[in-house]
Amino acid sequence: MKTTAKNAITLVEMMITVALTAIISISAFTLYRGGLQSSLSGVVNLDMLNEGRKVIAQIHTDLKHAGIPYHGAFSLSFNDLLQVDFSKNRGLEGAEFSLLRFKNDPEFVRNDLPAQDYLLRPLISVKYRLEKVNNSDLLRLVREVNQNPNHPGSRVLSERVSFFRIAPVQISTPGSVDAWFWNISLQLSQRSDTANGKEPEKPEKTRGEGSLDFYDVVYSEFFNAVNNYRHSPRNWNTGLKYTPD
Amino acid sequence: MKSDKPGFMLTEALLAMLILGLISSSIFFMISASNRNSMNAWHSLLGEQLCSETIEVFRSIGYNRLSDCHDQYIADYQLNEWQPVTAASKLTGISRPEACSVFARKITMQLLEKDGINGILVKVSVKLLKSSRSEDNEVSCSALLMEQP
Repeated sequence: MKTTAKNAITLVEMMITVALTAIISISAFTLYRGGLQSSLSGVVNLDMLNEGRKVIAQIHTDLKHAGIPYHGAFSLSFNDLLQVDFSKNRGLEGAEFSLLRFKNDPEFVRNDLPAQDYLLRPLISVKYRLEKVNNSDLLRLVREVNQNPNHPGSRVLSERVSFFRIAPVQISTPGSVDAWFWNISLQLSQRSDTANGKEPEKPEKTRGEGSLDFYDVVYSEFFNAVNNYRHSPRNWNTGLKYTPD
Repeated sequence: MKSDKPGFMLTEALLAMLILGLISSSIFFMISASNRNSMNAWHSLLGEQLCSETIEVFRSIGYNRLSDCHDQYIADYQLNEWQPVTAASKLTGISRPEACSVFARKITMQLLEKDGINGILVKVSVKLLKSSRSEDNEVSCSALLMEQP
């Protein structure tokens, strides 16, 4: 009988090679995909971080300058400064947070008021509204400014809001007067299944799972002045004496 | 030198394992560094927020009432000692992200006076409770509260 020279690869050798290649390829692919996902997640997280920081800064500025029109002597409640409307009855979706605030730039106007010698700093209307995003459970946070009633301007601050709340906080401080603040809570999410549109009381506990939580504490300069110094002029914005040249 | 035996030598196998190990570990460290940087950025933001919260509350209270206070606590802000931060404060009602409970905060107040002008220097430091590199993870900020004229 003639023996066969073993120059070729046997079926067993080939199968082992294929199996080994498959194992190495699968692990390499898994590692690559994990790395890619992790890198992508890191980039998205940083993006959310910047977005959240900007949103919080914007709300902080608005609330810091919150005020109400001066109509002579008046009693002021902290809750007068910010109106929260959940009347759409769809949880956070459709919720509106409205306030009046003083402008940043020192634009003083003299309106046709009976007291001609008073200079008033104008108030503008700001509204934060939560809207539904198409094909997602996440919400869109829109800031609407009504400087000119004919041309209201609106800007989308974020389209990945899963929780948002501005709640008043009263802190007992040294002395007889309590301090009032707003406590802002914001949660941004990558995935729509972490959205918490039904429950406006608290965010889902999904930190680190594609969600980032932000918070802030801010007081109104206007309210603080009125609240702390009851016998002083109501504030520097609404009661400045105007002396014509 | 060429080996007579077919198959891999131990040196070749070890070299292959070493190369594979180096590649795997570099990818692993890359992912780990990316995650760590992301977490550091997140923790820095929370740390800054915890500092600015305190400054905001103290600024609202103002010099006059703070200078009259001789307690170790203002609301639930403890002075001069590291105090663990809680996610929700029962006393103040301030609600913070759960992640804030990994921080501790220290608040100090120093009365200042120069040429008859009085002020309080409020300094707030925030650090992670469990951190291997504490020097990198401490955030501080300060504010000068002046006496009302």
